[in-house]
Amino acid sequence: MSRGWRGAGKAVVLAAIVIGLVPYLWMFLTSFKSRVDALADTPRWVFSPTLEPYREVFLHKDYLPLVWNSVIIAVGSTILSLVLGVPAAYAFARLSFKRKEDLFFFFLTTRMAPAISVVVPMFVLFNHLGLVDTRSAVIFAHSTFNLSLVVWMMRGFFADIPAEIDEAAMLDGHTRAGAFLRVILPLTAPGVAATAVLCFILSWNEFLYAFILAAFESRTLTVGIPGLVTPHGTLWGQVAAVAVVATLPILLFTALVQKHLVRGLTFGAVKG
Amino acid sequence: MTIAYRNITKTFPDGTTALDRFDLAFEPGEFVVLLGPSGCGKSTACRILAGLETPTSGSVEVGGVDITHTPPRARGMSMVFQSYALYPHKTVFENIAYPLQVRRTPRPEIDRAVKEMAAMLQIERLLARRPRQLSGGEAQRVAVARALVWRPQICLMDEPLSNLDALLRLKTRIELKRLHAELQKTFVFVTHDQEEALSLGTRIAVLNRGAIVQFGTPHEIYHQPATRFVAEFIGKPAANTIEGRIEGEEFRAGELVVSLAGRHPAALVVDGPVVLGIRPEAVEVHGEPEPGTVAMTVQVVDPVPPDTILSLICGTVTLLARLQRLPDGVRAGSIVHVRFPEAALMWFAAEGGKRLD
Amino acid sequence: MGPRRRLTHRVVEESVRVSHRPPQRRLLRLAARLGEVLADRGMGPAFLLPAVLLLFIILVGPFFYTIFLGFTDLSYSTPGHDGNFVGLANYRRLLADDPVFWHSVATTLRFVASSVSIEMVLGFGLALVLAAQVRRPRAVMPLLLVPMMLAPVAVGLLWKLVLQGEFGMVSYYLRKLGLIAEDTSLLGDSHLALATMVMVDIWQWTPFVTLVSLAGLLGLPRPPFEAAMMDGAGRVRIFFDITLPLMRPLLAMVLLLRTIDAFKEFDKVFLMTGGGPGISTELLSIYVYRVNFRNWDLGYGAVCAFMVYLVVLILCKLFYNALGQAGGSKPT
Repeated sequence: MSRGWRGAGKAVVLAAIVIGLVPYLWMFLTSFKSRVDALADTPRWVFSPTLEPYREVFLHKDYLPLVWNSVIIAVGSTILSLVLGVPAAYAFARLSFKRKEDLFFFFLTTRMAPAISVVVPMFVLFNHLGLVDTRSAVIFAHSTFNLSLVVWMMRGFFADIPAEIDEAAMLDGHTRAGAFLRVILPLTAPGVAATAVLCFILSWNEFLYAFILAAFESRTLTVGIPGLVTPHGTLWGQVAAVAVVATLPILLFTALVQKHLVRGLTFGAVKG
Repeated sequence: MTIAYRNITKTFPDGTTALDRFDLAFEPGEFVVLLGPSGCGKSTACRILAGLETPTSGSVEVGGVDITHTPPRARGMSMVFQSYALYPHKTVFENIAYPLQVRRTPRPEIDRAVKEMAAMLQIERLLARRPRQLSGGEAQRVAVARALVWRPQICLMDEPLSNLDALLRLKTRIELKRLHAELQKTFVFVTHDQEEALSLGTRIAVLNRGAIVQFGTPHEIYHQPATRFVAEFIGKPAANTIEGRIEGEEFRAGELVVSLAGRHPAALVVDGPVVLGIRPEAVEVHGEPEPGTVAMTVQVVDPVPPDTILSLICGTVTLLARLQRLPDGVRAGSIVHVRFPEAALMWFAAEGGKRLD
Repeated sequence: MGPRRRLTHRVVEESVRVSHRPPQRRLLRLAARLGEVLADRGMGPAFLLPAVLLLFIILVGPFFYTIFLGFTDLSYSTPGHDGNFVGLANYRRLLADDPVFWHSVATTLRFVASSVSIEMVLGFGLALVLAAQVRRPRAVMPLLLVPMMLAPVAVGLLWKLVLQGEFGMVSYYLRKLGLIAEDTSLLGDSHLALATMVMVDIWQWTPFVTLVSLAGLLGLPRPPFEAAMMDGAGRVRIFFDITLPLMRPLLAMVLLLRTIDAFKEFDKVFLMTGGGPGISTELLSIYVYRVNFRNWDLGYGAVCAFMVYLVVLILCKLFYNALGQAGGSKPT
């Protein structure tokens, strides 16, 4: 491979990285800027940072509970999806029954279901039940896609383990359920962890369901963002601060789950 | 148009040395076999000839022209891979046609050549199928067809028979010999199976740890092994090698004593450690004691019709003997009387294993 | 007695010894047997039922409720519209009397077509460069992934910030480079807003295409490539004859996946322009949102929502088939 081409390739990759990171970096910097710096005519890359925006929005504007809501909902949705989804995934991996393929397709449609279509009747129903603006409502709503994510992703992990191991466990004295709980599940622990992290990320990043179903008391961080963007002037430092808190943890989590990211995002088509 | 490896060394980034001063030359039209145990560097040597790997030092020449850095497609060689490497998205016909297609052969000519090749390998009925629909043997033939359809000067084969079952392997071996005779091209064949090598090759290069140990005809390799390694690798079963000492007129190995009265060649080291070699089929086994025999106990009687293999022991020395006829009453535990005919003895150095006689 | 029965038998014996009451023995043994049977054969239903049940309650129920709503006139903003049955009136309105709906369909199609096609080309191209030119491509990937891992709302916020007319960082540099005029506001100009939206989507999702394409490329088997080299093919030939055909199933799957997600786009557009200026960036999902949660015209809104669902369902089936081709987790 000639030197020139190699250099050009690396330059392209570098450009892609820069284009991807710089805008985010700018927002990150903005979250530490005073009002003057944030609204300056020419972009200020050098400035004296301040924690003022963070203090203002999280303490004075009382945005801290939003972080808590995001955590509760993400964790809650993850746990619910895992508890229900992991056994279901195992059943798909090991059993054969009529209409198995159709049922699997059903799980796919739930994951792909457009939020805007689902949330309309969901809102009306939850309204009847008095569940609007509760965290539980959002947790249930998020399970529509997280549960299916768990089923699709864990099915792949279970399928990777040869059925002979289940059989060996049963010959050693376990029931089928016992084999699952005591032998197979521990073997897929890394897969469960990766799936859990992915569920958390998707729930944390979600906007529409949280926006419609929990717009006030139980709002999440993501829902809190548009609230700060108003036609009569936006406090960019503050809203950037909220966005940073809403995104930085996820970037760290992504590093944890990177190995299985491809598998999770492509429904198991690519093992990554 | 000699094909030659000149002093090739190949070390990989992880530090392993695959080839160490590898030097080999052969003529067009030969069926050269690269034979050796796993890890000996035979596949690497094949791939360097193909151009799929570049040597760390040394050169490859064809007809005196240095082709070390020529890309594979310009070398006039083709290759049959161990995994067949068929194009999964193409039909069998398209697979075989591909080398011709790349060389912009006109369509009618491609058609004719592919059909002719398919007939030669008896796979005409498979032409419309896809690789995933083929059995191992069928896929292997398609790979061979693809490698030969454009009549390259040299055809390289990297353990093409290793993935076939025993019966198919035998059958395909015969086919390859036939093809070689018919097409009269140079074949370079890599294998770890010594029986295959002896059957197919016009000349065999035995490799060990990245270097050529011996290069010769099957007869030479079998009857005149250059080193202990070759003797121990070739043969079914391979040659017996016994470590011992020469003391005066005797060869001693533990309890085994072989009289050498007036027999050993001048080059032998007198009164020192040495390795005695003898092929199982050359070992004479008698039921009764006879002059010049040594007593040994039979451990295992292994019938391999029409022959029988006896596993013999004397003290700490074990031997295999291959007999056409088992003496009466010989079973596991029997005592038999063994003679080592002078003509069949091979002597190897205790250090390094080089043939001494 | 087999090992399993030995186990339960022991359990029963223990509990019997503890209970001390002979009449109880038979009952306990029965209970143990039942538990054992359930743990063995009841596994299928027990494992699957809770998940399916939850989804039925959360999704399928509401789905049918949507269809039902579509036949009513429910509206929280118009008095007297409490959900009376109106037959196909809503459907008639959708098909004949709502140009804004169809405009949003057209806008969405333009959005999806532009962003997805460019993402596929850029993403796959970048993956090719990574696979061929970078020594350890997998180490570089995390740096490229950032845009797609951010919450979409935050992406919207981010770009709203940098594209601000007066002091946005990107607008400033674009103006300095002479790429846009002094007084253009990328998000405020109805002619430019949708294109800007497409650009942001490309920025956000190209890494996804790159990530998956790279995984696919690195997972391709080596032998056919070496065979092609021996067969006489040069690099360009190998790309078109071997790489592309082998990558086709995966690329088709990625294309469909992006198409479905782009079709559902809401978060960042909602935040950046809310559908404006005017309705120049009003995608389908935004329109449905407006009808349902601004106008509170829920009966009609249900029909709109249902239409979106239907399209996604069809795309979903196509995707499922493409997944099977690409070797996805389809049940055997």
